[in-house]
Amino acid sequence: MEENKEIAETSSITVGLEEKPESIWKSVWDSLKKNKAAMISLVFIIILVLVAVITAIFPGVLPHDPYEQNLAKSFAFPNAQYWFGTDQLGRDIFSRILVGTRVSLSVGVIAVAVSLTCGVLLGSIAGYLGGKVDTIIMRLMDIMLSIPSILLAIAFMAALGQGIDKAIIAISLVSIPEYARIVRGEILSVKQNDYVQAAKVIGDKNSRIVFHHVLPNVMSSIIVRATLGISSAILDASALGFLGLGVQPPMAEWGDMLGRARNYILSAPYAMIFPGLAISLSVLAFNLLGDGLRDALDPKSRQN
Amino acid sequence: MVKYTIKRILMLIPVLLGVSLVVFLIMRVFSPDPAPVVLGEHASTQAMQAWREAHGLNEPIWLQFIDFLKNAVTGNFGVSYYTNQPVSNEIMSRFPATVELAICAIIFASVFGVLLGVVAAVHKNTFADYASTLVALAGISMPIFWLGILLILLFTGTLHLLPSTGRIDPMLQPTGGTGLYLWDTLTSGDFEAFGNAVQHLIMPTLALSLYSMAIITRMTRSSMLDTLNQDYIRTARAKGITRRRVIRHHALRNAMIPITTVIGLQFGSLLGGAVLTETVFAWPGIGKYTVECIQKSDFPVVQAVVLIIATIYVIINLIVDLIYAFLDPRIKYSKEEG
Amino acid sequence: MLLEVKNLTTEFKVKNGTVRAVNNLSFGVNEGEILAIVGESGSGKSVTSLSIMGLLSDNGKVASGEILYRGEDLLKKSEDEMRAIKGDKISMIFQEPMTSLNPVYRVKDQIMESILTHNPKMDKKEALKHTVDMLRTVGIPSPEERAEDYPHQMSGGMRQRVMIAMALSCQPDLLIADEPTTALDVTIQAQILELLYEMREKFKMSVMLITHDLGVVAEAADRVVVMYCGEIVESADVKALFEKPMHPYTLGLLKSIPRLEDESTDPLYMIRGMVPNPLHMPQGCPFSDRCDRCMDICRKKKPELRPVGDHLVRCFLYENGEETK
Repeated sequence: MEENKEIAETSSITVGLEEKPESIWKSVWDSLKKNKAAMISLVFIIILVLVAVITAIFPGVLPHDPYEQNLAKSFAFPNAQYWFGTDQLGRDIFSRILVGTRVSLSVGVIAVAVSLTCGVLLGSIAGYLGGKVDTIIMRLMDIMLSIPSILLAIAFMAALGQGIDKAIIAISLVSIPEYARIVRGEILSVKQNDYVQAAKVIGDKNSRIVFHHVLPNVMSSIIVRATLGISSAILDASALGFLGLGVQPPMAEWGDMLGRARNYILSAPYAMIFPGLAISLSVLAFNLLGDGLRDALDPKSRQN
Repeated sequence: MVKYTIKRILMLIPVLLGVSLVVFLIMRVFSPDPAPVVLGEHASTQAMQAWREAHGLNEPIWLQFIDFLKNAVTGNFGVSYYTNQPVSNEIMSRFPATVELAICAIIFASVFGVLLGVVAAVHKNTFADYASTLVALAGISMPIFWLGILLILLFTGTLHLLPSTGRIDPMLQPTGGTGLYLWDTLTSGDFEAFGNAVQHLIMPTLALSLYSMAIITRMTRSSMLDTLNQDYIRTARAKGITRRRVIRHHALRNAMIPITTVIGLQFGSLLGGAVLTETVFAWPGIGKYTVECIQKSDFPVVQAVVLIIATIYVIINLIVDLIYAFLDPRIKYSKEEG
Repeated sequence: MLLEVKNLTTEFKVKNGTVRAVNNLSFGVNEGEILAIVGESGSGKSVTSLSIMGLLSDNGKVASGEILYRGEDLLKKSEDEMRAIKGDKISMIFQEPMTSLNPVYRVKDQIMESILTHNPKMDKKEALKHTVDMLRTVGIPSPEERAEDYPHQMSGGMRQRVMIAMALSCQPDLLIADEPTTALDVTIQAQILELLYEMREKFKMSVMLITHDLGVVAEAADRVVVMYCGEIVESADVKALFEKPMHPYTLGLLKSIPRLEDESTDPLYMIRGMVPNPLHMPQGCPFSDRCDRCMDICRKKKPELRPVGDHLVRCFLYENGEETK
């Protein structure tokens, strides 16, 4: 409201004088540092990454072999030896969850990287060229968006067959339209800005304009979307795993672990509670980090 | 407005054609041959050949697509590879279960999502705000199937309050009618069956709606905070009307414009989520059926289901767009195309 | 006196502390007069009006003082009592006519809401008739049809007329107009000012006109209060103020008005520097950093508001009741 505007105006003048362009990332980091939830999430994500890397390089650190079956010990209640209990095949759930970190994280990151690249490319082309190209690309995106993404991913999995690589492809494909739409929308609005119009008048080429003027401006919303995208990719991957369409056995994947233990829901709930907790906490961490980044990158909230 | 509506309906045709093509490509072109799956690995080559012939799979692929389209328009989606029953019958017998679940879930998600969002925005930075933010965060972070399992553990395993599978006690199942059990039991006055159906619905509805509710809560909160900061809210307060009226009549009415879009979009994720919910709760709807059919390569069914769900989804979003025009007088559809 | 503000102090909580937007402010509005409050943005003039109306945002609060309307302290009133006064006895129009009307309701509904809130016994038909009458009074052509419009179908000037019609629909004693012409084209500005002037005559009300534009003041006001950093630096009758501005800030404001008759080629005068950051106020006179006639004492001590001739001035130049040369 008015009085806030007045205060904001005066304080923004001082902020504007102090802030140099290259310090924007520093100021984003400073404002992110103040967000407790985002920082805890960041630490949690770093731990996840460490777990994924360390268990891959030194499998010896795991308390048990995550693939070793021992039917005599199936569904052991959580105890000092098996912290999270054992599953239907007597495998240590704790070790399997640690190993599963690698699968979930790599699915999340790779799927987002792939869909982001395709989405940004398609979105920029559509937004910048406009006309028929725009219509064709966006119609295609509309078509994909009109099929619920999990259903489309399931259909892709049916065609491609099981496997973690295929799950990544399916999840990447279904999230392309979202990125394409965001980038196109941002480009259309940035295109109207004076400085882009000015660049055009000076005679900059289209591609140059996209890379030097438009993309830096959409960067912040892309970073936020990508962080949130990792969380939904992890969710989607776990859903495919739960339906038995994800990894090949005996590979450990959180959703798959949950799905296979499903018939023992009342007799051995820990076989489902811990993998579910792992999924939820990872997804939550990426969501909170994404929210924190959005607030930190929003120039309006940075000023106040 | 009428002109715009007709135009939008006509625009659905290419989208649905595209959906059919995409699904057809995935199922018939990129998927492995269904014959060995359906007939078993050890079936003879002749048997497989005969089976392909019988299901029209030996024709050129473009002809198959045209046949599929021609028949789809008349509601004929072929027969299931397994039961040899018309796909439309198979789907219709399971459809009401999904519709009932989806409607309950979207109502629950919208009502409580908007409510929580408004409370959070109006009481920003208070306990109520933090609590609803927490619920919303849990909602977007928990996988539907895990939430479903936790609900079963609590309400069935521990409290023994609610049944964990099915739609209704088979003894109480209504015959005929719409197939929407809540409606059928209520209109026939069978309150025992109605209560039983409600008991069966509670957990699937909760599990399915929490994610959408979370999204709607977050959207409502930010949209309300945005409108509460608008100049016209200050004008309204300067008129001397009650705080409640300012919030409901002025702020929420404006905030509902973007919220409506989000609710429409959530219907899509809800229809997708039904696949998982139905699997967890053994809910006899098309979601669970589709997963089974994908796993055993019953492609005619999958094609039909995806096409039907996509149709429902685009129609709902068309309706949302029309409501949007009703909510926001600034939008004129006659001049520009949406 | 219709409205008397005594020692009003309004504060805002911001991230890095508390900002005192209005500091120990006292002034009054007489029956039937147009009082102008002048200042740059950040001077606290809008906050003053929002304090009177009880419309401060959540982080703002009146820390001390009294706001007496016909002798009754508005700050002591309950929310319900205050609601009965707002929009009925005291009403307000704002700077941004483009965004001050609710976009989803018809103009008539928004005006009728005001009327029906304060006249609950009136039926809708009568309220509509009154609404159309008000639209006609504020000079809106074919008011019957315009009443059915949505705000986006009107121009800024028309919307400000609608705002005025809405504010006057219950015949208030006092109209607070917060920069009512700032967002409008120059030609429209004059029309709206003219309208306010007319309405004052017609409804026999007082107007508190908040503006940063001394040109507007000269045209419309009877008396002027000049504010700087939440305090009054000078107040006087409009004639006295324009004839003999005393405070260096008032002088600076007057000198920075462009004049047609001025044929010199000198660049237009500008007060140097900026309004100080409210979190880091200078120790002495808040204007000292920008003042052309700043003295040693100005940086050490804050001057008091004291009568000098027919003015009230807050400046050490007038410490002895007359200007120190």
